[in-house]
Amino acid sequence: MKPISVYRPSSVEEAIQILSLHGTQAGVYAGGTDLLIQLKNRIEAAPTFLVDIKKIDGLRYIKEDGQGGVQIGALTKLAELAESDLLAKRYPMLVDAVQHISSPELRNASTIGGDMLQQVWCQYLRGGYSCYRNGGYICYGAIGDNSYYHSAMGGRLCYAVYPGDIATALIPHDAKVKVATPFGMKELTIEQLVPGDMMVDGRLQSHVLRFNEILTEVTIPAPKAGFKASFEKLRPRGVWDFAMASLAMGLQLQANTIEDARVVFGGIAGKPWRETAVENFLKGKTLSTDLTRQALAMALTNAAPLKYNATKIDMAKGLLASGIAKLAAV
Amino acid sequence: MEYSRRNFIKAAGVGAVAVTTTVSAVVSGAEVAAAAPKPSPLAIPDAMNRETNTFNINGKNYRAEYEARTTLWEVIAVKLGLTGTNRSCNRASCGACSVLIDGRPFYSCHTLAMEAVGKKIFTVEGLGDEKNLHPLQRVAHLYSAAECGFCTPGWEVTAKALLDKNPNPTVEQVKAALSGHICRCAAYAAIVRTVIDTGKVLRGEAEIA
Ligand SMILES: Cc1cc2nc3c(=O)[nH]c(=O)nc-3n(C[C@H](O)[C@H](O)[C@H](O)COP(=O)(O)OP(=O)(O)OC[C@H]3O[C@@H](n4cnc5c(N)ncnc54)[C@H](O)[C@@H]3O)c2cc1C
Ligand code: SF4
Ligand code: FES
Ligand code: FES
Repeated sequence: MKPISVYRPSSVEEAIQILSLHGTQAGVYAGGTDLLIQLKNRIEAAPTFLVDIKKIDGLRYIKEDGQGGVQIGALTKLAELAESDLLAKRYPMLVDAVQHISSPELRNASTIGGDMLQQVWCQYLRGGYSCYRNGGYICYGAIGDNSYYHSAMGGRLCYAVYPGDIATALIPHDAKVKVATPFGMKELTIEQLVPGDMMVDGRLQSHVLRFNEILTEVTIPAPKAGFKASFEKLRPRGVWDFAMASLAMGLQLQANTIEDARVVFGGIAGKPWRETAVENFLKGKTLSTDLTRQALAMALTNAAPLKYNATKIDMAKGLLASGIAKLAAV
Repeated sequence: MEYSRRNFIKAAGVGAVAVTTTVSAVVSGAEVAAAAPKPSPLAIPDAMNRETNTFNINGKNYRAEYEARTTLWEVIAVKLGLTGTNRSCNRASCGACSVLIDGRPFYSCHTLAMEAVGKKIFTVEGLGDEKNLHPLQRVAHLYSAAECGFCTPGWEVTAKALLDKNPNPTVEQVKAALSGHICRCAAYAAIVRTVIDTGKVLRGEAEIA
């Protein structure tokens, strides 16, 4: 493992001071499940001054916001989300998604903030190749084996898919995040947080947080009556593996008419991929499996698969069909 | 004052801190006025690279020196010589190295040693020894649930955590709880049977032949 130094600040302000002092050599250390793999593989871009934020009180909670919504602290473990009765009652689709992340042992260690801000899992980056994300000037994923971890919806410099399931599952709920910066707090939607393939502080990353910003909270508004959602994920093995393709779908129904729709694919693009063509098509229709054929014809028409990953598009469309069937059945 | 490079770097932090004062204004609102004066930038504590601490493993206290990057497995097996816990992949992808921390299973290869300080660590040595095997181990022996035995210490502690919480798990619950464990000898069927039947033994509904 790369040699590291660890700071253990007791407040968000102190953590931001330390991060500001070390620049991009420093990084927030939450559960460490992503960072430790980067450090063990001696990835050039991995931070070596770790700011362990777990000594900071009041970042680990799941509580009601008093208006039917829920607030989740950034350090809340995935296992705590998976076991929460409050979340199971209000946002069963989110809990379903969390239960299908990594493995039980990893879920005891990893945090919701870390899941949303995790590095991509492209085998070239994780294997220490010096690609765009690792201080180099080439993308191996675009030209090499891109069958699993790479985008089928195009890219700019980096072609890796955004790997997190939680951000994908939070978009249908219109969730937001709070971020502490040296200049105060800011609030972002999930789509603003992870626009994919961004240049920030001279680094290519999936999210927009600067080196000295800390995600503190996720807020999810109250679900309205008539909201139905489903999460599906395809992967080689039922544990550990990332989504080859996933779908988080949320429908706001009035009687059986679709008033509003969110169709978000994961694992196929550099960001959680909202398919607005299908969303617009679904609006105003009566929910039934009769919609499936037309929805599929409209879905992912601007796909741009690489040499080995066209199957991701077929998988994603299959998930859309089963998602509609699932929601039409309940 | 000597103008070493270190002093310079610390002093250079002043700029950063001048800006950060605004954070507290937003984060903690009204408390700001009442709070003690902001710590000066020179008060940023030194980073930890190496330290010595006490680890509570299976109820006993052990002292060990470790680096910031030392994993819990390295402390348990290498520094303290409790070699029951195996490490296989070292990448959080097999489960061989599992231990319980405060009753929950973690991969010890993927947990920094510093994280386990002050917590109760439980390894396979705590389960039983040659003279006094835990029912889980006796049933596993009976069913040949350990073939090469490399994955065994890992899933046994995870199974113990499950049975402590739920002494009467269903097959589905056992599979879900042990899903983070790979057995390269593929003794899976025997492992699941072991956990189910150990539940019966622990509940007093069966005896080990
Ligand atoms: C084998 C394996 C399988 C996996 N499978 C899946 C999967 O199927 N689906 C999925 O979604 N994920 C999966 N993951 C990813 C896993 O969920 C993440 O590694 C984990 O959630 C990261 O959380 P952490 O707390 O351990 O983050 P860390 O490793 O501590 O941090 C991850 C990154 O986020 C930053 N960070 C963390 N918290 C904050 C914060 N509050 N503010 C600012 N920056 C922060 C860190 O600086 C770092 O860059 C898998 C991981 C492994 C190892
Ligand atoms: S896909 Fe991204 S992470 Fe992978 S080699 Fe290309 S630039 Fe690097
Ligand atoms: S050795 Fe720790 S999970 Fe494989
Ligand atoms: S018994 Fe050999 S790996 Fe499980």
